[in-house]
Amino acid sequence: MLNDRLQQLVRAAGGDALLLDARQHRGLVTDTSDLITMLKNLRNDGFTRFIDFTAHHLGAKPNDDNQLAERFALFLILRAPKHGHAQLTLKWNWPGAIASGRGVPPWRDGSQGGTSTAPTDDEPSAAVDVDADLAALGVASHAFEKAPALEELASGNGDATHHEPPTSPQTGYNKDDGAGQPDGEPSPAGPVTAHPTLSHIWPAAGLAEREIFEMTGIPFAGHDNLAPLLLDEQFVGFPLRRDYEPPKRPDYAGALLKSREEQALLGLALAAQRGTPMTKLELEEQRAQMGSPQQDDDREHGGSRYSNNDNTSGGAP
Amino acid sequence: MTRISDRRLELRHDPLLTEKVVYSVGPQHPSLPAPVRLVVQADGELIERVTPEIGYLHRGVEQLCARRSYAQCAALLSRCEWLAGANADYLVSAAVEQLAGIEVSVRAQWLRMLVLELSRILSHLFWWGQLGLEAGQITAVFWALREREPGLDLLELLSGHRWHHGWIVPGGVRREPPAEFYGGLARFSGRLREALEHFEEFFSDNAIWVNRSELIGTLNSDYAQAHGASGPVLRASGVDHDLRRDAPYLQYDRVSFSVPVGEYGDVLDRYQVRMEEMRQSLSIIAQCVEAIAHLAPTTGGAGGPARSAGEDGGHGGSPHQGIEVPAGEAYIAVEGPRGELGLSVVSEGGPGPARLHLRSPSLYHLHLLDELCRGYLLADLFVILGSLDIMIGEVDR
Repeated sequence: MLNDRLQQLVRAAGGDALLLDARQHRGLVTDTSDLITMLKNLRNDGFTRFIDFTAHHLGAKPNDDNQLAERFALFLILRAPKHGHAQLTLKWNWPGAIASGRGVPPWRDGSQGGTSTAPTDDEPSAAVDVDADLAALGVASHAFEKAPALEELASGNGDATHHEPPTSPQTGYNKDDGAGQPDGEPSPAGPVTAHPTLSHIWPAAGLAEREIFEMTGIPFAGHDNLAPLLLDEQFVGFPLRRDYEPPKRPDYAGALLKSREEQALLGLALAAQRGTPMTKLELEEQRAQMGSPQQDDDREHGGSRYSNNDNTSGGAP
Repeated sequence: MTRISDRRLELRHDPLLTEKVVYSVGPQHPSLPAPVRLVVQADGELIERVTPEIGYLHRGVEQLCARRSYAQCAALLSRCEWLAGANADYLVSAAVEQLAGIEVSVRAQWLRMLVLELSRILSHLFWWGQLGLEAGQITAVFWALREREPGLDLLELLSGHRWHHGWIVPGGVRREPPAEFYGGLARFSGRLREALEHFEEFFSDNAIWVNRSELIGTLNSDYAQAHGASGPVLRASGVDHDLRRDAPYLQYDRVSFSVPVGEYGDVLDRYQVRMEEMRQSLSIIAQCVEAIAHLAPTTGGAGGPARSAGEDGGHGGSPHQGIEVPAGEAYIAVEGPRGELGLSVVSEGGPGPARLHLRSPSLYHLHLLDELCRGYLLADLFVILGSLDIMIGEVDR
């Protein structure tokens, strides 16, 4: 039935771009198994060329259970060689629950998790419940820990040992943590709900999913390798979430003085006479002599030329 | 060792893993276009597996774009695909125009087409020179860059910049080409037409090149489609698809050109497809020049949207600083030199995108390497890589 309706829609579009919005066709896809069925039907209908798959973070919102849920819009772009390479853009929303420490996946914080045998079904289960999430995250963390090593490459496929993600209370990862929260205030709950992978429908989607996972933190259940694609293995956080704050750069300009008053105070006129700015060492000596009360704080947290919140009175000279 | 269909050799079954060597090629290697690491597992001289490791050039362009205006995004994105930066300018402009409902004058569309085709030629020339280097024909790179130079001069004449032009802006193009541009273009085209004959003579009858490319790195059309191949790589595998013809944008439905398609999907086919594409681009450019000559220049030069007073943020001169784009979503695709270069834009209103994603053809092509290299010799690795025309800037973004 889904298939027929989509076929009608694609035909009606006459091979032009067609945007299926979940808001407009809410009845079309109700759960993950419907989604996968629909996508498989599309593939069998001729949409064999995968073009792109990308996620847009919409922000966190309390859901019906009064838990903060990160919301994403997913865009899938396909082409059908059979139908004159007609382009199809599918969009659907993907909600999920979220830990209190947003942006840091719980399995990256260094705590150790036990081992279990999480299922790696090719067909993700229809119901999106907490157990399914755990299983999916087990796969994700396993994939993350096992970046392809040289010896594995030589020995063919690596063995499948799954590490359950840590469920320590301080990460706020465990769903039970939310039970003690007072009513009326969104409670931190589990991580983002795992999305079923599309890589067994279009192999190229596997690459896009790796990128989505590292950039936005949506794990893909059934994906065989969610190792970071572009980011460093040590990188913490999801850069394409709205609340992501880039780490501050070290204050390379720290050796230079920041305000004219300070310059005068520290006698930079002498340095100016000399023709070169004071070195960091000289500056520290000067400060130590003068017993400046705010020496280190001032230098490290304000006035960086790269920092966004410029709270100093003047710029670097 | 027995031959399968093409020159691909059968891998031997070797449970004891004797004589398997894993080479780490890169991230810095003279044959690599930019930093990328290839983990190559070989059985003697036979390649068994290639795993690309990317991200050495990752600059977080998409994250940066979420905090910047469309003009700044165009500048950042053109630095992802630097050999044909005009494509990124066009993608951002077209996205803004689609979201804001801006009509572009026909003359500006022809001018854009002209520059996009010129960029394709310049990018292909660079690719050919580099392919020559990979195949041990060092002459190619000198010839290619010699022909490329007048093309860059033309773009400099047009926009003031050789690589990152920012000449295509929302609403049109930045300004009319100067009068001497068309004369220079005619000289460039005539010279290049002759040079292409030379190039092909030099390669086609050359036993060294043909032996190194024929039936090497074959790519099956089904595999290519399922794994995201596009552009010349897809066409060389026998899939007759070109966005310019099948989903025409600008004025591509009003020019006549042919789409070269390969048969075996080997290195030689990918080479021939690109060489023919350069000729077709020259023909499109000639048609553009003719069409432009019959259209009156737009008033005000660029024909871009009027800049609202005081909204140019002090940058001055940029006609699309401060443009307010309504909320919406758009996917714009262009047939770039390397394949389908796409841009997904989510706007929530305002002067910049909320989310922007570049669909990079090279990302998928790079990951075809494992399939392409399996069963060929180590010496073929770089010829195959060269035939894919990977741009690491757009892979890593």
